[in-house]
Amino acid sequence: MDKSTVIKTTEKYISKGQIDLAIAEWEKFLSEKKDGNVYNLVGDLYLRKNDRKKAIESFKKAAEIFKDDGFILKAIALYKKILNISPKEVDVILALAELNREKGLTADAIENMIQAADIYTGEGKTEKAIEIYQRALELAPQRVTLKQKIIELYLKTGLYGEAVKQYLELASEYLSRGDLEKAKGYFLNAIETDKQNIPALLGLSEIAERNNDLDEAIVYMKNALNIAPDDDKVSLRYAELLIKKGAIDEARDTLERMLKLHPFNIDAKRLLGNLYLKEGDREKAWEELKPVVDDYLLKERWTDAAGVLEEFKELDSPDIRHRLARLYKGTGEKDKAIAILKELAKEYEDEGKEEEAGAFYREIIELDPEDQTAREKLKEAGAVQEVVEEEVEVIKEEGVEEEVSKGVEGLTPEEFETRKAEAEFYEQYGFKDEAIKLYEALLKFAPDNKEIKKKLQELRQMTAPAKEEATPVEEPPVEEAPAGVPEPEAEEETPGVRDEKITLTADKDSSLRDVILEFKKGIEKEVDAEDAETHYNLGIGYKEMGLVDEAIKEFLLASKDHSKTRQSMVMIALCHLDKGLYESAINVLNRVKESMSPSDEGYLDVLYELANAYLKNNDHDNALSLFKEIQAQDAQFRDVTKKIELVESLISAGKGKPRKRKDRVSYI
Amino acid sequence: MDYLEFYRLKEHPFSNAVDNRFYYNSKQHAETLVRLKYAVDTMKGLAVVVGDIGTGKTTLARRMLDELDEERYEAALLVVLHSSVTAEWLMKKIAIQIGVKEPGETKVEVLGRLYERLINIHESGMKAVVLIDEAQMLRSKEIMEEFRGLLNMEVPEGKLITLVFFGLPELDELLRLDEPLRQRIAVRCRLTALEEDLTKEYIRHRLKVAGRDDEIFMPDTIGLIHRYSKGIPRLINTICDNALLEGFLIKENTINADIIESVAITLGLKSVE
Repeated sequence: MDKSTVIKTTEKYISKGQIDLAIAEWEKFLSEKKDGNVYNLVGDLYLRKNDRKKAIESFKKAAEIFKDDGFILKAIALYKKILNISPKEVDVILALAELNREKGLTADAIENMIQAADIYTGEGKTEKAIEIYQRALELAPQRVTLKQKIIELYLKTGLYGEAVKQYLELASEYLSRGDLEKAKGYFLNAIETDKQNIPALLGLSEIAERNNDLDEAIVYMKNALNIAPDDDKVSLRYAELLIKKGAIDEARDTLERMLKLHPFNIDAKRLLGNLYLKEGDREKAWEELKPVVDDYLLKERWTDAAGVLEEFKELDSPDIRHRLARLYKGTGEKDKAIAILKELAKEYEDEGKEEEAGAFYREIIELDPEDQTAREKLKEAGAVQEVVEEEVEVIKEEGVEEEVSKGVEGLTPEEFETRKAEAEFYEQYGFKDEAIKLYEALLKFAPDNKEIKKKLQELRQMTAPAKEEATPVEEPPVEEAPAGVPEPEAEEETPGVRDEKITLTADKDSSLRDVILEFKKGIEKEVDAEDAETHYNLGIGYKEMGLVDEAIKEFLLASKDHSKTRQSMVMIALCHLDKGLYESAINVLNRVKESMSPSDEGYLDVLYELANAYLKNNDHDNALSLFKEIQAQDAQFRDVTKKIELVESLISAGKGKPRKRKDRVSYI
Repeated sequence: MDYLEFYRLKEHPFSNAVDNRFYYNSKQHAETLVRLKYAVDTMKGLAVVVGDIGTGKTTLARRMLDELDEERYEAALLVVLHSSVTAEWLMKKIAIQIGVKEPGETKVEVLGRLYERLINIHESGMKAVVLIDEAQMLRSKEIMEEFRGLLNMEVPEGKLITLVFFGLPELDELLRLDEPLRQRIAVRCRLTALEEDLTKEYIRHRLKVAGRDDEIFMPDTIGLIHRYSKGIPRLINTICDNALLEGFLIKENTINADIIESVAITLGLKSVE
């Protein structure tokens, strides 16, 4: 069957209102050839007859064909069309979810899955609902409401272990956000479901401690210990709480018991060592803290290592001094390290322990390849250091030094002046809060700057009456950051700690930095090219299906890619025309026109659409002027000549006046 | 012949497109409008209208815009279509809508020109108002901060700009995330569903505007319509529109309860036993 013949025949039937005949004709065609567009047409015809069921069947077939042929966006648009008619078609929702997921439209896919799962839940199809929620959770693991839904279903179906897992995840999430109330709620839910759940008990204990209720915290840990007496985490936590409470004996017993089972647990050793120290038993304390010091040295936690060694300097044993030498080595205090190593080497030499002495001399050479004493001693012993190894050590050391000096500097003078200018701008235009924020930040970098101090004082006085409203920085980053500021004099010898401080500083100032960066860059986020193409094509699909609002949304997204901005704006204008928003369409098209020059590709198309928009808005003068401009450039362009005739006849008939009222409605 | 002819209507009485001619000035809408205009006229800064889906927020926004005559108010209505609007873009949009011709590119320029424009508006004796529909889609702390910044622009008489947010109830939660902004809310209104008697008045009003003074819907249908729509104007429109179509298809001169029941099933508002 020839399609164009069928089209003519069916059009005749439709014009006479003989929908059934038109449908029959198309179905004859479809029996010979499956055509997605035709199925879509047939669906529309069934809709006209109010036969939604058959319409949906037809649209589904169309969507399948489009999907198989790779026209994913058309398939998506069709599924959406079906859902507009019948929102609870679960198979369609799931098919849509899959397509959205394939296209990278993850948020849409998740919403579809939740919708489908909700419908299954409502129908009592719990297993199916769980399966779908799990799929959605894979895409959006942080969605709380999703987790809650899935928990309910797990409980309903007896999957208690899974429910507990989700409770714990939620609790941890809230705990990390500082929402102790909610975290506690979820931990308690976990316990109700599984009375012996150790992570939940640990969590509840932590919350109790944060709420300054040590007794409650201890009770939780005791329960946990009863359940899992060999669990090192539980034992450690219990011991920590006991120490805090002052129950030293019990803490000590707990730790000693724990170390019998877990002899290499550094944290336990640290706690026990400190307990022994407090009790004045240095020998025992050193036994426990020796491996702790080694761990600190290995992890380059110099301050911590120094803190511990300081406690034992009176003991003056070789292994303490050797560790001290390693500490000095790590912090770049070569001379001090060498001095100790030399002492140690001499002591061992005097005791006739040549090998041990040799090891110390080798360490000295690593630190200072030119050290004559060490070289001679080693030559005597027959060992020679490789130059290459020495250089490697020096390089490593320099790297440490660099790291140590990282992050100490503040703003450059130029940055300082820029920020000051911005603060002054804010002040000038009455944005007092913003100005105060910026001046406060500048003061931290230049605490002695009198000008800034004076400005801050004045501004604070001006805003003093409305102080409770003007809350400059109440966001969590300020609460997390310590009152201290990275003062240059508080030099850290521990890169790890320094890094922490640096991080905290960045959080505190990030809102300010963002303001400043925005002044300099100030452009909205880009959508990458592939996404933009997808959104644009999806918009075309929606528009073809008559889903104009959805089309506008997609074109707005596509417009964020600069290569697609112009086309997208034109399409948005055409959508506005479809909605009867002629003035909006005119505004948009004028903006596109202004961004182009007559020699740009597509310029005449834009003029044409703009002229049409004016025509629809009954602004015949502007319409005519534009059509004539097009004709002057290309007399054969589309049907411009006919348009001119039409407009001229309308003008002479005196039809319509342009609407004068300003369009105050805008879509964003 | 279509159903308009059949029921002697000049136009579709129950279209869900916002059309001010069909605006039904219920008591709550009237009161809300008065309060919002009070907020605008006294330059209070921020007003919020929340309501569930279909309760008439957009209609109210349009109505309010219509009532803010161009002689006295520099008013604009922004309808948020997508949640990915950025703060900078929004500020530019607001600037353009209230008459800034060249808002500039950088944030400094936009805010500066916006401020100048607001001062001009104030000095010319007018008031600047920006209505934002679907405000709950502006889910960004940055945007909230920008609004807060805008509301800091003031003169002795009050705020240079009044913002009116229209949104779903989740707008309240959004505002709770920015306590300083939430504290600036001067007027807050909530739209609720219509009671049964108001549903009847609402239907009658719309039919009247569409050209039909007498009853098309039988008395026993009102309760059903109210039940299935839960008093939400948008759903009332959908049910009534479909009911008229069904009535036309079966050539019923008045809409009876059976038709409403059938429509409710078709629309998924009533489950089939």
